[in-house]
Amino acid sequence: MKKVYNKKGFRSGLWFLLLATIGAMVTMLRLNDLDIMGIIKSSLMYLMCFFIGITHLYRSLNSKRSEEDERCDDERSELVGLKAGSKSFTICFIISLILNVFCILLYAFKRIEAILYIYIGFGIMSSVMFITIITTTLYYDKKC
Amino acid sequence: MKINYHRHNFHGGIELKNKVRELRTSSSMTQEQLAKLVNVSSRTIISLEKGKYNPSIMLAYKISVVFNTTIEDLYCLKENLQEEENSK
Repeated sequence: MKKVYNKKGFRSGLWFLLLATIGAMVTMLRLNDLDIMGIIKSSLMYLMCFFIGITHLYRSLNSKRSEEDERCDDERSELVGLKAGSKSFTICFIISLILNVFCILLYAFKRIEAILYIYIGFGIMSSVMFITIITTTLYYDKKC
Repeated sequence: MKINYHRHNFHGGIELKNKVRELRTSSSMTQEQLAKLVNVSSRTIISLEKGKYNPSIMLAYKISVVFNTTIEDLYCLKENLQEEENSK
């Protein structure tokens, strides 16, 4: 049996292969319900998943490639990931707040009931994000 | 060596002056070779040399071991501290 050099890559490879297999099986079962474009779209997607899975598996079983992957996945790239995640979350939070205000103003001028439902949706999103920020801050404040 | 004390790096702090490029070129080493020795990507070495990224203590130590120097010397800690205090 071949040695696994990169467990993370091996796991993600297996996940992609599993996704491709399940997706292909579902598409096959629903072949009569789908139109030609739907079949092409899902086939391409699962084919892509299959190739990604195979590539990850191959790299995780190859010592040289795994070493390369390990070097690329260093402390700087971890920091980039953390910063990007944090920044994108903040941007999403600000956008949802702006949309909330926009919905309120739009409702005040137009008095369309549908806007209220959109406002509730964005309101829930903003609240969940706000609670998440507080809980994660408390968690990491205790942990670090 | 180019020194930009008041520019901010990726961490949001002031760019630290360092001797990584100086020591690497004097050892006739490429960025890729140094990256392989300390087990990071060459992109990280480029960022380190530019002062855009401040390494962890372990990475700074690994680099200082490669060049047979100390972290204090590699990262000109005394000078950087002095500059930081002056910029306040």
